Amino acid sequence: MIIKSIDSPIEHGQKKGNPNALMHFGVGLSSKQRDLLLKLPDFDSKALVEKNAVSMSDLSALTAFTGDEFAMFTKNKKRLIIRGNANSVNIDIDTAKSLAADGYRWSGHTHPGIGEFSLVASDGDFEILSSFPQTQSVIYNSLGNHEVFY
Amino acid sequence: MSSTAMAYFSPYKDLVKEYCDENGLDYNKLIACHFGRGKDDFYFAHSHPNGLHDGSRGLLDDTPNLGVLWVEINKDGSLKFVETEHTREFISA
Repeated sequence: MIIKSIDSPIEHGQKKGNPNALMHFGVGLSSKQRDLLLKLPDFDSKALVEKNAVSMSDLSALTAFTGDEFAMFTKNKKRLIIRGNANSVNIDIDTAKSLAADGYRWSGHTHPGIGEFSLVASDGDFEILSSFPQTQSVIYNSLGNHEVFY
Repeated sequence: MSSTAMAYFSPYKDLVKEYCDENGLDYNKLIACHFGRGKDDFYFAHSHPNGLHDGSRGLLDDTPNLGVLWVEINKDGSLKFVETEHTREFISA
């Protein structure tokens, strides 16, 4: 804990890019997250990045920062990130089946919000999940909390 | 409930059934709901009645389903049940 001066807020060592800190303390994105967001300027923007360049926590931070959903698909050492809006991502069943046929798995996606029920899966989530040969995926919210759905 | 979900839920199902029986809830209706879980909690949710799903839209409509029961797992293995405004509507006995 660092106190800069009697008049300045106490810093709690909150790290840039931490979704919870973004939501509660207004800290900014990390440089890695900023770079990713530059590649995803709009709804339905897509970015293909190295697997170790992005995590679901990073997408949670982007959601906290923008209020939009982000979806992540992984194939070998690559990750496909797709930006949505406040309540959707442009992935229908045909698109999901195409990604699955191409060898991707659905790593997860984000829901904007901080309440517990922002972590509840939608019927659309189940539809997408059923398009992949996997039995579960994960939802992160704007605080970085997450729930697995089946 | 999928077999994967049931593998996670199994240790808790007796306690959940007991809660349902003691609180006027239908256990079979509950386990027919969607299931999700976190590090130390799990939930049941009912399909959103206003959803526009025709089996093809996928994430084009990502309206979260309606939580009907949230269950927190205490460190001693006991459970804390949190009902919602949708609990009685969808899983009453």
